[in-house]
Amino acid sequence: MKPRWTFWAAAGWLAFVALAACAGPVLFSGAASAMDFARVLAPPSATHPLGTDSLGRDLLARIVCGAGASIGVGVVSVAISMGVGVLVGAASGYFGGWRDRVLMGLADVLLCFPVLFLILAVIAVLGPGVWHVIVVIGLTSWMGTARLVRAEIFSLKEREFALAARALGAGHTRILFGHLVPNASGPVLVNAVLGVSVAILLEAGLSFLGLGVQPPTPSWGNLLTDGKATLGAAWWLVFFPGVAIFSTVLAANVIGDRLRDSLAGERHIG
Amino acid sequence: MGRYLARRIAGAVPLLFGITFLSFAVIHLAPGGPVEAKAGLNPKMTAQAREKLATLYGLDKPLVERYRAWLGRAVRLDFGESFADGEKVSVKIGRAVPVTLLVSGLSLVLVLLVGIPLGVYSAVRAGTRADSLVSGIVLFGFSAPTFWIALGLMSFFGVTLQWLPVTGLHSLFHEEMAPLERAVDLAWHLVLPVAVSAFAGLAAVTRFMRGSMLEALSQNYVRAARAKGLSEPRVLYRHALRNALLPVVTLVGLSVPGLLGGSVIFESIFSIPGMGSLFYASVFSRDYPVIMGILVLGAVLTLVGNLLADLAYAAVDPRIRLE
Repeated sequence: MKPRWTFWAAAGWLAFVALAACAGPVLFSGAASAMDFARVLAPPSATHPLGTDSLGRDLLARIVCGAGASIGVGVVSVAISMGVGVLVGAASGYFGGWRDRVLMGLADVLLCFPVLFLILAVIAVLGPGVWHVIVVIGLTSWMGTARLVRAEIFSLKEREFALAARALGAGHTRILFGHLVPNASGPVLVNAVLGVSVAILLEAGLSFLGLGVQPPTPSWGNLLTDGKATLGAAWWLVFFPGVAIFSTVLAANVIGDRLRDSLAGERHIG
Repeated sequence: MGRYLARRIAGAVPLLFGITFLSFAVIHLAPGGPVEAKAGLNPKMTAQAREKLATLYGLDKPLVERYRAWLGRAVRLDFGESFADGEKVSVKIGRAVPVTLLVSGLSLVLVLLVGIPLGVYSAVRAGTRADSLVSGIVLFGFSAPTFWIALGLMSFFGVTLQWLPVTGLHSLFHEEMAPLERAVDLAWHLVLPVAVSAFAGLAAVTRFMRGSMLEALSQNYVRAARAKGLSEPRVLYRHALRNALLPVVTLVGLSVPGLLGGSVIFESIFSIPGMGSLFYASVFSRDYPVIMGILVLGAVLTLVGNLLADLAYAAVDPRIRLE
């Protein structure tokens, strides 16, 4: 069994980042955009703990302000993908028959494209921007969840409690969302937590290609892109935004793994 | 077996229709077509010139008719010519495929060579410090953004130490080199891209292998083998490992499309002229024929990869009968 402190450390870090993401724009938005041409590309120091960028802006303030965009994209896009995935998977598993074939066929079609190709194609159509990125990531990553939920519902709908609910005269909606979906929520939750980490990485990648969050609004991905231009001269501009992405994604992964392990243990006993 | 194959292939046909029509519709209905992309470069373009271009590209006809025309040529493996420079799509893709295949093929070999032993080792030593260490590395691999690692390696090995070249696949004077020198030059340029691309896959394969091996080790036939008094290496490698490798076969089959899809992000970092770069460029110049060609290739490969994975699985596991 892995030590418990890693879980709490990860949870603590995520809480801290979330807090920074909420408070950052209020506290630091001035500092994040204030240019100081006397201190261009200054290395980390007492006044600028993480150094400054090529326009003399404070990197720490920019990372804190970028947290909102990165985490927000991760959480909202996963919420969309979970919503679609649960709906499609539940309908597919519960009704079966032609509805199942059509919905899973659609999922198969979407799974045939490399995700990044799909995202690129849609961004090329819609143009770059935070909301486009959120919607695109959300709508191209629900297939895994749908399959998972479908499989769960498939076995759950034959269990006694589902039969009992039907015998009591409950309608489809009630059986599905009152009884079946809540019982399938464990794996969905694990999927969601791990999905957030994937989505944060995807947003960073897209911003890195110049297709995600657009400057001057900072996001961790576009901070990295900025840093790439001065890679030889100012290592801190690439290092610290990367650390921010890495530590946050790591924390989400630690928590996701932990939840999955405890879920597996529970099922083993039950 | 023959019937199974026939059914699978018959099942793939409607799927391919769905995929091509969906991509065709999305691409063509999008605001801003190739004419606008060209007009953006040349603001003096007249309305007549625009119409001429649209007729040339066949964009003045309704969507379904355009799709039918495209499909008619595509089934004969003719994907048309690029809007950008009139080059045949098949030639363009044919040039990018070997590049991507070289990088991702090498990195897949590296991933399997390192990931499988690491996963097995970790499973055999489950619960020990060594296992935690491997799990830690895996978690690291899942969490670090590839392009961040790429930038770090580029700056350390390329800029600080100046050991390795950081962009492209050839040196400036590649053409004048002797064949052997060229090969060395290419290999030298491949080190960083292959390492970075392997890094991402390594975590997945190691974790997968560990899980699969752990599962195999808990089976009754392993207990039986131990009870028979077989030596531990024999139990591990002849009995457990051979069964634990089965799911990995599937994983490799499923990674076939990824092999050719390449990664847009790291191809752009290392300026590698592979499929990712080609797709990126064609999407942004609205080069419809090239986009469609790549998407069709990707979809076909995914379907073929899935089929191969199933076939290989049946071939190595006699318990599975394909019906």
